[in-house]
Amino acid sequence: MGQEAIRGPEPGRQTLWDWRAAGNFSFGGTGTSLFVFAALAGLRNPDWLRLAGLPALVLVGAGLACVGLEIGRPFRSLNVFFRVRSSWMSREAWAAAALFVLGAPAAVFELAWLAVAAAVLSLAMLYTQARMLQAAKGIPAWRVPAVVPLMLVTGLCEGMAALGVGAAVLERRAAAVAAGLAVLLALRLWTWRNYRRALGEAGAPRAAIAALDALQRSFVIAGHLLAWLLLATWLLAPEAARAPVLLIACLAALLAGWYLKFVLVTRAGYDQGFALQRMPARTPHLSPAGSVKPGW
Amino acid sequence: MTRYAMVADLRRCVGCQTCTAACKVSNSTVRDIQWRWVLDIEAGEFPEVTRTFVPVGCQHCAEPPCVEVCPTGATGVRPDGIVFMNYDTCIGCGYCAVACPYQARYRLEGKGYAYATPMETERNGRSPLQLGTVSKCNFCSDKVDAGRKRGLVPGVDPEATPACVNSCIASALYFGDINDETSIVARLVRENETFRMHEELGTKPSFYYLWDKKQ
Repeated sequence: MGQEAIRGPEPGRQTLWDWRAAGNFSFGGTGTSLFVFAALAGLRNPDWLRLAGLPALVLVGAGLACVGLEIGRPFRSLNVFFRVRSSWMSREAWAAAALFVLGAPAAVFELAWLAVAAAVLSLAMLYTQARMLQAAKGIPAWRVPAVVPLMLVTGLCEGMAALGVGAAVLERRAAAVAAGLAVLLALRLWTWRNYRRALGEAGAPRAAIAALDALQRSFVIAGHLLAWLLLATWLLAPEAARAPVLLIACLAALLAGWYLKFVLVTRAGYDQGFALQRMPARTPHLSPAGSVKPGW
Repeated sequence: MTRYAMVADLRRCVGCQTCTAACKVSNSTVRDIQWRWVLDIEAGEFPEVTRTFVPVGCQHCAEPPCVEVCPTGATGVRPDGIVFMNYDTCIGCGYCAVACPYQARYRLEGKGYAYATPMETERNGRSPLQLGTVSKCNFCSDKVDAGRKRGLVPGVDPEATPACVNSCIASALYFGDINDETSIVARLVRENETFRMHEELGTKPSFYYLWDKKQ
């Protein structure tokens, strides 16, 4: 919960997981997915492994560094490996460690098949991150099962967008990246709407719903419609203008994904609050008022 | 097998926060950390308005989500149902706190004291060894264990009973072994209408709220 000592029964915004936790989900999601796409691209052109695989690992490392900045006892961080049987955070740590053990040599020495093995671990880490959020039962906006596909697809979308940034900057052939990004954007929009509907059905604090609804416009318009429009423009643009157009489209898709995670973790991270199933019957055998659930 | 539980009689609680203060002094919790506190809930619309005082804190769940998510094993459930913290292992990631639906967990930050000069409880509570770790109510387990060793009965003998229960001026809080049919908590739950908070989340709390006598 937040660190406020005195509070009312309404749900309060948790403050323990702040932008640093969101950073782990953002950089980790982008990095793991970018590594997957780098490994796939590396099967045809092994130099992608170094060009995109190494930055992917840097992104994953940046996400983990964010966690290191957030935890209260960073020098004990090796303890995070202890509870792999039940904790998705432990599983994330193991997947990350294995990813670096296989992924770093695969990227540095451009070993395509080793990179594919590391990509499997990369996907596993992305999955653990999604499940980690869902396992936080105290936060209604996170515990909805629909958050898992949302986090997975958002991560993949960010990874493809990051690859697109690389393709635009390096002026590489980018048709496959643009097509992949267009499809993933559609999937992300679908999982977002699915998540939002599921959250409405499951119920959540009003403030959490409001925070997510406030995100709707920028996320959908800038992160999807604008990105699609730019991708369509890219198809028709003259050769000289194509790279900047692709770059802007990919940045819009990437930043929208990061913003979604930031809002989900911080602004929509309202706790359960308190509820009474029945009010006390102070006059014996006189039926008291029914349930009360402030803030919902 | 023993399973400790707490009962709060909502008809009796007057919201005096004596339990809050007793917990604070007994466990040396510092500013911003309150393992036991009492909510003040107003409901309804004028003129049909009710006001209810609700003691809250760790519910010592039988299926605690905090224990499941903890990546270090720093938190766990004792055989007698008390959910504990091991401050030497905790890394302060806060995952347990966001997994807890009862807002019962706090990370001890290096913030200042309530006043310019630290009170005794604040001096005792802000151990450098605990800084950055997460803390929570432990049903005064040290006291319970020490009392049991002396042959005392938790929930009956004050020396073996949590501070909040001992201090309650309205006899609204009770503690004991819910599996012992002769204990006060088992009897209260048997003879009264009760609910447990957020039961729908499957946490199986060991904290019962009484709201009426059984018809």
